[in-house]
Amino acid sequence: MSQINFEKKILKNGLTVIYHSDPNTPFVVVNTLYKVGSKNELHHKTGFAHLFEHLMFEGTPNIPYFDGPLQEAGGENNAFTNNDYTNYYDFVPATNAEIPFWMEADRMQNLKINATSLKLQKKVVIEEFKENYINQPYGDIQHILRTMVYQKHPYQWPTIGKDIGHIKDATLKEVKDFYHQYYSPNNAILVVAGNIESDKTFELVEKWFSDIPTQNQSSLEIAQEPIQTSAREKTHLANVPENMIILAFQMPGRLEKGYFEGDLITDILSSGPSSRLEYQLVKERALFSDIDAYITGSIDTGMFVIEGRIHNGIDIQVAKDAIWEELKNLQENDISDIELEKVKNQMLTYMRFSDASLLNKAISLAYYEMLGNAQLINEEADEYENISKEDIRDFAKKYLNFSQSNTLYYLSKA
Amino acid sequence: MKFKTAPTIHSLNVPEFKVPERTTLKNQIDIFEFPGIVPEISRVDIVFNSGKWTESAPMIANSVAKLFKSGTRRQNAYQMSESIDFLGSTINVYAGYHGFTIAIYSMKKNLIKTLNLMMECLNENIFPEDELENYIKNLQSKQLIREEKTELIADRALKNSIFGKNHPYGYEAAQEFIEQLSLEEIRKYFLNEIQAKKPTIYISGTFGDEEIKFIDQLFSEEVYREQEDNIEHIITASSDYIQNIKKEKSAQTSLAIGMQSIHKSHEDYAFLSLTNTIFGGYFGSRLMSNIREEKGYTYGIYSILQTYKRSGAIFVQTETSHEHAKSCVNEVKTEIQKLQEVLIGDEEMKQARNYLLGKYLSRMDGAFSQMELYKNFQIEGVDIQYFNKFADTILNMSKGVVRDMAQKHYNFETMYQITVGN
Repeated sequence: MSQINFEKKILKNGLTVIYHSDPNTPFVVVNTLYKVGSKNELHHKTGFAHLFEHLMFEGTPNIPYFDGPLQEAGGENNAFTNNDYTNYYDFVPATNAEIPFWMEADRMQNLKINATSLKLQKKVVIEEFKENYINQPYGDIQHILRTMVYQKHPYQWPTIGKDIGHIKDATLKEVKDFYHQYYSPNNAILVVAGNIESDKTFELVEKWFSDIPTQNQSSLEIAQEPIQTSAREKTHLANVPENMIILAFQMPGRLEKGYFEGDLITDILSSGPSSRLEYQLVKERALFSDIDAYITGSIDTGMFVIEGRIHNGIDIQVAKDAIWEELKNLQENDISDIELEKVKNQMLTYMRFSDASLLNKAISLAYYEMLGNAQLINEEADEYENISKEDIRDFAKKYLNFSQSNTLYYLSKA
Repeated sequence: MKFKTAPTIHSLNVPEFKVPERTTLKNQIDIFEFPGIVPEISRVDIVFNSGKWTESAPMIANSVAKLFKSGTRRQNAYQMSESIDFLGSTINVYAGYHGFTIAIYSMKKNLIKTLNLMMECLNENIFPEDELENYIKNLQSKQLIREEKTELIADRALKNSIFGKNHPYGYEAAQEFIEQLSLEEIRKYFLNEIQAKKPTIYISGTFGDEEIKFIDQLFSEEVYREQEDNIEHIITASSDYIQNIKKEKSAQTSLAIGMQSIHKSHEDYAFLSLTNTIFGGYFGSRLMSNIREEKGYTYGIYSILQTYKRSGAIFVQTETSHEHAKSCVNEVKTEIQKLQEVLIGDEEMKQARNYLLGKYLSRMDGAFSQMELYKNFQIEGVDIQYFNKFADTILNMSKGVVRDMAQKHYNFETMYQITVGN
């Protein structure tokens, strides 16, 4: 196995720094992960972490227009927010490697937030909400599904927020408090990767980040989701061309036993044309026009989801039963050696291609460090490799049961 | 806090793109090599000079691509995909405008086995009837959903208007084309445009002489026809410049504004490329700054300079609330006028220029990117030396040229304006 090597250092102010050398690229990536996501929001003020991500590009007294210097340096930057964390990355030619250090350190402590920028970014985020969740057929599935699977945990709303009203209502004070509460060196992980020397990296880190003050962390306790004990069902009518059925189950969190099994099972079910759901239900029986199994991969209790679009004219019960037959099959029969090896091979190749990208490596290192240890990046392949037939069956028996299922009938009004 | 001055921003050096090593195989097939430092993974692209340009009717080439692994005399579709999946490999087949590509992603240790499976599909595909039926049924169903998406409807209307409803650059998937797909035409295209044609091969990542020799042997048995695509397609542009398409109950209006433009070999291409970047090609562009960052009308608005082997186009696309659709169109017009009338500032010029150079540098980063870049230049029929001149041209481009380009290549009056919404 090829290892991804790195060095780690924690500054006095609590900032965790990971360095990874890649001399084969002319670029450097500076990736900053803040340990705050939509799970840190209150149920009546959702979409906040993501709205805040937009505000991080609104500039500081030193750098009034955030994207300016980075673009001038020949670089690119962007960010994403999910339920668990918010991640910012800067990708620059190595000759301008210091630029993102300066910029990220600056917005970690000097962000300028005012009523004008807040008002503007609210409008932008509302258009984003409409573009991706309302003006798309089936666009609100995550909104509905999450409220079924999660009754306590803040995973019950998607990162964009429960509804547009919450974004409209965000106040300047709340935004400023959020910044002080979560955007500090002791709540961040900085990854520097690419064509830059180790000494140079730590020298620049020292220069730009070491005097940023630590902030007191007073995170809200996150309510954990109790284990589901009875089946839940919901029917939703919408203007869509075909019926859809979505089955969701709770599954272990990212660091819990069973996580990797769950992930591999979704590959058995729907990765590639020879996967079970794809072959049996789309091809052979022609019940679905499209079907997909995936996991959400969250740190706390996650979701294992199967969603399929049903051909018009096919009875929805027949389609549902067909999915259940496949799940029963997983519970009752061992997977063959060949099929197990197949999904493992697919996973390994996928991971290798993903590691060929500098940006992917930088983001992954930050993510694993947030989970507790960046070294996990090198252990993941073994986790998948060690999964046995019994593990697959055990997972299916333990988690993919009717009494723990959530069924969403997303039906066409027509 | 101690005072710290901002670091200096250095100008970029974009190194020359080195022409890759080329081996000519026994059968006069060229293979271009891009060795790279990636852990045990390889990519091989087999490219035919055909694509949408040489199909007899819309969507034929893509259907052939999608049905490439639909079964041979030895293995049916399921067995074939099991064999490929078992190796952990992927064979992606797609039809571009001028290139038909079989792209192989594999661990080096499985590359030869994967190539064998690819070759089985290429030489022995029988296109079973039931596979086509299933494919069409699912395609129709996907199309139902595409027809619900305002941005896709707008995009299609714009391309239809610029090039024509049936032109390879102008059409997009539609039910009428799907209904007309025939097995006969699909088989004919596969036979004449893929099997009979001499491909060009690109290999990147980890590989050795053994792999090259194997490829040589694989392709040495057939007799191939030289590459050519001398077909003419006549552009039939619409005279309907303003189209407001109704889509009941949509939550936003999609806009698509655009016109025909130049291809990569045109002498203005590098200049126009930077001009379009300034106009709408990146986050700091005029359109983004004005319409997103100042007015908050949209999540994103971009202007794309799309090039094809024989033409080009400018596409401006965005989604906005119904009430702001008109203002958005007006702002696009205003920004074009500004670019045509007012000389750009030094700071903005520098920013856009360096951004674009950085983009070019990233397109040369790593074996996979280099292969992609080189391949696409070859498919579009543009000499790679052109790419090397590009950086110089942009570095030496004066501010007045931006204005000249805007005057010469943007004309709001002859741009199609499509809106799709309530």
